Amino acid sequence: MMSVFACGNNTSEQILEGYPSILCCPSLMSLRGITHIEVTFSHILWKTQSGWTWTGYKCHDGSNILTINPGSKVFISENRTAAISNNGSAAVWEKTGWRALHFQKDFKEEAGTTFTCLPHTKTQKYLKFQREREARNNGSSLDCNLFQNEDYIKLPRASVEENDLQEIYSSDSWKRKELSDMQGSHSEKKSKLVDASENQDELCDADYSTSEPEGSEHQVPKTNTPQIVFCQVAVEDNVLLALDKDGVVYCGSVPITLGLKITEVAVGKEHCMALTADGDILTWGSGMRGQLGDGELCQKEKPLPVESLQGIIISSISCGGWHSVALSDSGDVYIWGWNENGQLGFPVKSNFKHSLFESFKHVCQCPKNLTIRSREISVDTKEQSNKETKPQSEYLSQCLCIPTNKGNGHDKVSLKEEKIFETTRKEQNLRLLDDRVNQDCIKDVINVQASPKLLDFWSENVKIVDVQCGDRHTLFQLDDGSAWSVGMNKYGQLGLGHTDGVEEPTEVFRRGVTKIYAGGWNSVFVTTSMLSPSKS
Amino acid sequence: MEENDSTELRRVVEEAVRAVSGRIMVELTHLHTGKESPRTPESRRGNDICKQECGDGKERKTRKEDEINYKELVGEDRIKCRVPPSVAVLCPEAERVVTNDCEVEAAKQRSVLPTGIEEGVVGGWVSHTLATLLQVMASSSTSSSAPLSDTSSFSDEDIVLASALLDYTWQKLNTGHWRDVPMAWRLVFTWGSIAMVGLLLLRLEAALHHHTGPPKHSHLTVAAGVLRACDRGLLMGAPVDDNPLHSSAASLNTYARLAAAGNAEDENCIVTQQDEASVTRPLPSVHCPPLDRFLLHYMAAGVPVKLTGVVDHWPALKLWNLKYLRRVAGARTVPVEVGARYTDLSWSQELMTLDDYLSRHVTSPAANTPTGYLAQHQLLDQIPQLRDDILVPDYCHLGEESPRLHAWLGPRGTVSPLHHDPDHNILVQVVGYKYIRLYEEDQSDLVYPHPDPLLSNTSQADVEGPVEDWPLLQQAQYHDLLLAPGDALYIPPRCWHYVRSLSVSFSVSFWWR
Repeated sequence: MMSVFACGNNTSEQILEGYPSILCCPSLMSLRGITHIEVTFSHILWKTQSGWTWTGYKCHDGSNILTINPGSKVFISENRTAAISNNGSAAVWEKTGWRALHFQKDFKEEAGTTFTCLPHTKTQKYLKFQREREARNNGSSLDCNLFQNEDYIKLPRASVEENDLQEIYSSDSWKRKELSDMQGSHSEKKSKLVDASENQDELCDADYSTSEPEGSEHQVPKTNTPQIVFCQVAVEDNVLLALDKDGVVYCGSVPITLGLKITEVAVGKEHCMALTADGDILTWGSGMRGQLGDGELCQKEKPLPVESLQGIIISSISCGGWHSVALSDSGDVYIWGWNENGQLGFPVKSNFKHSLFESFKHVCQCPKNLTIRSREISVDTKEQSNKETKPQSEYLSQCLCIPTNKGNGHDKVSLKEEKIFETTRKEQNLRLLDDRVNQDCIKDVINVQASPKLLDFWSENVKIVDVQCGDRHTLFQLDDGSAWSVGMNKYGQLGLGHTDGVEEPTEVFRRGVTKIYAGGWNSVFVTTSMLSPSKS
Repeated sequence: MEENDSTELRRVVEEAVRAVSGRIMVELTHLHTGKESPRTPESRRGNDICKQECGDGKERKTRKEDEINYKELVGEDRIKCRVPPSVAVLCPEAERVVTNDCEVEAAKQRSVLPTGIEEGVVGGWVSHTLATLLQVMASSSTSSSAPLSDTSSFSDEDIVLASALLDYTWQKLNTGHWRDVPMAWRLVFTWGSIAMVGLLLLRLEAALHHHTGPPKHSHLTVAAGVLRACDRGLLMGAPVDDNPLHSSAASLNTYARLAAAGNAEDENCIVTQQDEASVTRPLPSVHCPPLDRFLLHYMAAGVPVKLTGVVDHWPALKLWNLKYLRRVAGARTVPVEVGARYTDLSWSQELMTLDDYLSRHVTSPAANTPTGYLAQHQLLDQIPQLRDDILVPDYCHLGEESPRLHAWLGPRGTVSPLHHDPDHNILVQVVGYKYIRLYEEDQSDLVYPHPDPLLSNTSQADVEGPVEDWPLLQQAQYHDLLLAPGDALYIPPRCWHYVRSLSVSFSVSFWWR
């Protein structure tokens, strides 16, 4: 039996409806049969056998999530949703509608060009848009496989077109006007288009630069470009990377010609990361907060290997908002980027704690019957370290939600008491009795870490099996089934039963964790056994 | 200052709440009627509308009309259906039932956002959250006759929501270079801060409601927190007409200062020159040149000149001293550059209150305290009361854009390394003394510009350092001068300048292009 616990930001009721905005204790989700989870700031997507559903902000595209085929993969950012169908075609929902992802598979990079959107690729995009619309006119969908029904085709066509056009010609409004003047006739449109294209020679689809007779409208246009089979999309509101089954990464509108086979991609708020089949890492984008791991604080236009990690085989990667994590095949974690909230697992420079942002005092109000409760703090620590605890204490108590004898108690912990418990927690120093923790770990105070740093917090015999990043926090899953968290905790995203900052990775679950997910200011833990909400 | 204090603080808080909700109402109402934001003070000033309520019946009508407009806008039901948060906390079920209706209503009202913020740019959750918070604050003024419950849990959930909105927006402000961040995000930060300040004020109002006698220390601490929220909005947000954060901050400063114990008040107000500096090649000076002469001989010609007599009429010359600054703005948050020079590795920026800055870095710094310089900060935009003490010299209006004002407040011994700026600059000395050395643009080859492109406008040379370290610099032509209170200096674009303060110093610079 599998249980799913979530914690953190509940301002959009993405965890529990009708409960406080902050759930600092891991709370049991009522959804059943969850097979995959995607977390973003205001909502969470849940994949079950019967399809995709979501909790949280009832966003404009929320209803569209329900139409996605259960077999599809989905990737989300706050304002965008990307989906890949069974046969590998991809689409992204932005603002008003689904847009198929098209890339130029055999695009040849010219000297001096980068893979950001080039002027002439706009023309190419326009050609694709034309093709797309013709396909729509023919009634042949782009790919119905992606969706349970064909609702998206019923979208008012004008709005879809307008959207696409805006995308293509957002900067040249005069062109858009010209295009809207052309709406009447296809042939006129095409001949004008030929005039408008400044780089005719570079246009790959010759078919579209010649005018077609009206009658040929029903022919499905021939295309030279073979269909790209996508297997992963990494999406943020301002950047989208797509990965195909051949290991090619696409960005903007063209492939990034790397000559390397990529197996995984990830994006932060300002940087991108890719993992090669050989276990090397490439980074590009902004490195102003050390995100690129190249030892410098600057911008990189092209993907370049993180040199200091070469020779170490990396098995998975994750990007936070401004930090990056790499997990090696031997179970070590390398971490770099911005540590403003301690998300790297190292102590924070004290004057970077944003006291200016304090505006409320959090008192745990998590529902007792739905959250994993802590036991009293006086639990014998030796007993815990010897793992001889009762079933309920599989959840390690470092939590401040102390059940007291007055009523439902835990929400009435006075300020003074809170302080005492905080001190007690520190004094107890459970860590010292925990043989999983490396007693000699480095305690450097870090603000920005510009090159990968080995997180040596755990002993050498401990293997880390997964690392996931939220915007400003990091989750670790260890091979003993325990889960740990570090970083921003203002909204309870660390799942520790309080919202105080922590200086080092802190244990959330003692064992039983099979999968972890993070995004925005939320964490989700999947556990094997039913860790029943405490009845004691 | 004993028994009345609590009453006075309550009055201040109530007025600030009305200013905030009034301004929000005006913003939303004018959006609804589709009117161009009117510039006339009568209709625009949220502040005034609130004052009108306390005035005679005729003025009251003006406010009434606004209220009615607002009700049309959000719908009477929307206002009514809002369950008092105190109820919502006690009875989550009630909140559920009602917010469902509210959500439908809010969805219809999604367009109710302040000018410059569009859902297409900021996304659904931000639009929805900001609109909700602004409506909560706007409707709070319509129900102000019913005093708020005095439970401490009042609107805590809304405060968390506002906090989440600001933290989320902070992430957006930190994505990409500051100058590339869409203005909409800074506006969201401003309006989110306005809503947050309103909610915090409501909470303080509720706490003071049944309180008699002098305000408790906890009340003052809360007031200091509200003031920090005001300053955060002013420092990181975008300028907004009649920003209620200004008036709230100004009225809370006194109380927030009381919360921080031990603020020194006993400084000697007379600043004398403490350090020596020898002027070897004095810059020519001119007394109040006419505009055309200034334009022709100095601005167009790119010739630096010392200007005397151009700010003699400034109230600031008489008013500004450390005591006055503390009184007007002691509890205000300001950015301070910590470290001897901005080229140093250990240099950093910190936020602190002006009182803390003056005590720690200016009047009585401890022996090993690093230099702290409140440099190049738009203090006069942040604190309009100080802006009222000065007048922009006419020369600064000779460009195409209106001048940008920066304050430079620091102890003796602050150094701005030799550098140049892209704009015309008039530096006015208000308090204290400064030594300045100028190298004109044609001397650039001799002043050791920094090789790093980011710092290429800065020299590596220590102008007053050992002669043998910088041999080329000794060949360079320069002028130097002392600036005393009431003096001004015109620095043309790309003219290298080095500045060292010889005493506690407060200068104002005007940049224009």
